[in-house]
Amino acid sequence: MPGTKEIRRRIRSVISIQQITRAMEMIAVSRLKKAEDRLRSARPYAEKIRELMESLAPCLPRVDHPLLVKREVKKIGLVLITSDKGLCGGYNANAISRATQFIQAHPDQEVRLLLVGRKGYDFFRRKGYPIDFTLLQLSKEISLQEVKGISGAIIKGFEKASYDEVYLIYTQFQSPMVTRPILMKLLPLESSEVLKKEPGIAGEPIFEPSAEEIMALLLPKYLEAQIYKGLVESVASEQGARMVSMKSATENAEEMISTLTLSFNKARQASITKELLEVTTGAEALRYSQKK
Amino acid sequence: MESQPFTLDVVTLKRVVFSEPIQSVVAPGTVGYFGILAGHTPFVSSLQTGITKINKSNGEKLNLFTSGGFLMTDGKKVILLAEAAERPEEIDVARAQRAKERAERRLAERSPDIDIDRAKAALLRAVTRLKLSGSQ
Repeated sequence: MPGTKEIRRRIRSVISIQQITRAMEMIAVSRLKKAEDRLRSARPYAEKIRELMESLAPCLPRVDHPLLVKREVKKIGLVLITSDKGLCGGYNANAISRATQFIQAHPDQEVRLLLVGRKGYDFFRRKGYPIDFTLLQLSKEISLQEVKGISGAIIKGFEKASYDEVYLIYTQFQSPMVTRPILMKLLPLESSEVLKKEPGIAGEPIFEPSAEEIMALLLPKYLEAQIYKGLVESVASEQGARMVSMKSATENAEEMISTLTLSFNKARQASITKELLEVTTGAEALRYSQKK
Repeated sequence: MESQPFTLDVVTLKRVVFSEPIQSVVAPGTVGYFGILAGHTPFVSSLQTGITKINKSNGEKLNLFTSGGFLMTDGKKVILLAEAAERPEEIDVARAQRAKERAERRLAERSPDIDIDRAKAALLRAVTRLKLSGSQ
């Protein structure tokens, strides 16, 4: 049985770990709240731009735009969103395994990666996969420049035919407990995907300057909106996962402290009993020798 | 008078800037400013940097800085999707001033490695912001 001193030291170290996990949990809670707000305010734009896309969909087949070109698929661009920091449960592992699964499912195509976040970057760099683009240390508020950096890399790659198709993997946020990696096709845009619903605006509207020109301006914006939404969802998922895992770490520490305290008390009691025993035996022996 | 309210939503990637019933709106289209009233025929236009003038249904007037994006209407509502949209009190005057000076310097230098169109666009944005915020 370890001595009381040793147990006391362990208790102290578990307490300080618990303080850290509790603080991290608190931080994750407040960041999650902000991320959820951002998610809420990002939704209207995504909805409205989809509505606009739908109103343009009838003239999509007429439009000849580099981002709508369909080619035989030989090279695929895969955008993967992970976090820079760990300690967030299975968040990164899930996203990365979804990406690995995707790569394994396309053995005949060359999959080139565009990575957001250090975790994904470290993983795929070690494995030696081709990486075309990386964005590390995404800012907390997610700036338009960052989004444009990603969409710019995608558009350039697609126009140069470095990618024949582009997919995005992000982590969808439903609740802090429920997050899942989602695979989404970004390019080329299929008119069938947009045409799911009846046009938002009845009849074909008047376009100024022209449907083609509006389409040319709209496509990159649509891409940006999808990427931004993916980033916002992922950040919220990351904070949710961190909050949950830090909460359980704090609870585990609590449990550990109580078991350690129990064994500390036992050890202390044992040592007191031992000392008492020694004192009484000593006294007994002394009395016995005096009697003689 | 129409019974159904005629509404305008001004939305950017990050937030909803304006969402209220209006009488009319005048927006900077790529081929020139245009006005929209209730009952307008279905219409979609791309936008350039400029000032969007809104007449609210309660008679108040509001001017917004908007740059890029699109406007669409079906006669019952107007949706304005902008790259950037700001109310006059939200404009960062110091930042716009700095952006203006930077763009002017770039245009004055005329060195071949700068993007003239981008500098011009930045200058227009800065000047429009300053104009709206009333410091010029």
